[in-house]
Amino acid sequence: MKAVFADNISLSYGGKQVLHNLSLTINREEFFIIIGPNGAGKSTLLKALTATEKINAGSISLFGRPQNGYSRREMAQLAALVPQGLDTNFPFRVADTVLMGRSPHLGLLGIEQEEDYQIARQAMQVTDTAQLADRTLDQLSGGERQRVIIARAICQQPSILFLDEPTAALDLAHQVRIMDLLENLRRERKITICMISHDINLAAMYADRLLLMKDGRVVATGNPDQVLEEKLLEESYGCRLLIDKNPVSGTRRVLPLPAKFTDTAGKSRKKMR
Amino acid sequence: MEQPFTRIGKRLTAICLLLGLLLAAAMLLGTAMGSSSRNPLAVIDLLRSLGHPDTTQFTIVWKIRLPRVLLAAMAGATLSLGGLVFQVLLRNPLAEPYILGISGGAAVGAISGMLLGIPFFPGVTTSAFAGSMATLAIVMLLASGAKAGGKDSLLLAGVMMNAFAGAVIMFLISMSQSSQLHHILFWLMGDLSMADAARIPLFALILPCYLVIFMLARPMNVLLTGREAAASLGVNVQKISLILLVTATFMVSVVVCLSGLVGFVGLVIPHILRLTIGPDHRLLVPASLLGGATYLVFCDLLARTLSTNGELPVGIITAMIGAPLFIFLLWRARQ
Repeated sequence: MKAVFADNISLSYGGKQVLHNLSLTINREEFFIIIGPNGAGKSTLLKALTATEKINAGSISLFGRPQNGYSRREMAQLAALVPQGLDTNFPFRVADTVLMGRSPHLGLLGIEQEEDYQIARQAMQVTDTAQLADRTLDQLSGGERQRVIIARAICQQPSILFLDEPTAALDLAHQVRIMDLLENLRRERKITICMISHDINLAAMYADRLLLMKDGRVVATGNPDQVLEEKLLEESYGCRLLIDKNPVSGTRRVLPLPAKFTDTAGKSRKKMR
Repeated sequence: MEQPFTRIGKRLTAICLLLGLLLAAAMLLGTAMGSSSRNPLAVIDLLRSLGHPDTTQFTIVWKIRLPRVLLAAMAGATLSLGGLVFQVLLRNPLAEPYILGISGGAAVGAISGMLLGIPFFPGVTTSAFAGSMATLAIVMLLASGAKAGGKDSLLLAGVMMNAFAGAVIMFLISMSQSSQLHHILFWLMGDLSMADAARIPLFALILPCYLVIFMLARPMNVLLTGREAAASLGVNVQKISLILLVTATFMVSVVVCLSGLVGFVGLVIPHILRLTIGPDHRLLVPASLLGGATYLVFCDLLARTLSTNGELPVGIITAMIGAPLFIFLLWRARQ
């Protein structure tokens, strides 16, 4: 049984088609990362998979059951979404924000039981946010806030976690910290991870499988060595790349090459001399 | 282990008890005091008059003041809760039915109904509801076009609709030869003096609205952290927004019919409460009801006793308190 199976899905936004006959599978307990240039439709794909946006054609099933066979509540118990950020106009305390993750599990009146507090407390320990409990969201740094959002998602006790660029705008140490956290969740809690990333090098080191997208279509999917091919990436991103091997992890390493180091620029430099 | 979470049960009881006591005190004072007895010690006379149903004092207190205090409490509770709901829906702490022009739209509808001479219920109430829904639709349409600075464009659209509603009201009044003119003008300024016991059954329309909103308090919390995030937590964002929008607009329309344009209650009370008890709506909804009720009963008491020469419309008092606060909040938001 696959965690996610999307078959030939298409989706249009206000007359413009964003996803074109796209198919993908995500295995259970897999670390799956979606990469691709800006405007490729990555975020839209994530919305389609989490049923926040309706698809026009095709079908999606989650854990062997068609997506439209789940109620909203069941869906929220199964899949959690970590958006790029939370609104902080009305700053809730960290502890209460994390506790909101219990929403899809609560009864009609929405009163938490001791068990819910316990789960929220654990989620904060796992994400190392327990010491922030009394602060409000607007008092946190980018990395702290991202961990709180992930804590809320863990508190949902999902089988699969969808994340929209969780490491964007974080410094190197925090990027690795978030990625290690996700890897731990996958290994210890058996949570399937599906995330969007702009950082191809992080993706190469953590992902079991990658999906490369462009213009709402799948360019390539497979393990990082299969997807991170020079030709595929250069065509998709539209720039020259240097691809070699990371001596520590053995995975591929991708660097963009500025115009001044590439052949054409080199020629013009010679001319100038 | 220490307990970092907001325990809802205990805090809810404490807040309701405290604000409930305040409301009871305000209502007691409001019933006891008036233009004929400005001394707070009148409370004692009030209690004494309970045993003498044939005195003038008894008639004034129970037939005139009490219905008025009840109306003030209900109007205050509704406007305060209405403000809270609009602040959630528009994710803007400065949103308020009066500022957004929703009260103005309701007033246009209500005046049209009054001038046509249709019965108060359901005629005038329905036309007020239609007026406020139409205004709300226009304001949201105007504001939805602008992406950046969406907050300000919402307030701007509201202010313009308010001005437009004001112009339409003045037009309607100047065209009419109605004998009720004086009465309508006073009502426009926010007036509780037309309260009478016959209108109290209308409260039955509003009480279910309170209940609906309280039931949605938790989804409101989640909604405030973002629409997409709320959807992923199993909240039916569109359905809940629609229910909240229609319920809040409806109850505000009924209150406008009963008490005219009383502004800024929905700004002042939720704001103070959010500062003191935090953003959790399971607490804020009941607290706004009780706090708003207390506030308007108190403002009405001021309106009746401040002037020795007749009484002031209560809308003037609330605007004198609320408008400066609004300006202060706007100024602070820009810092």
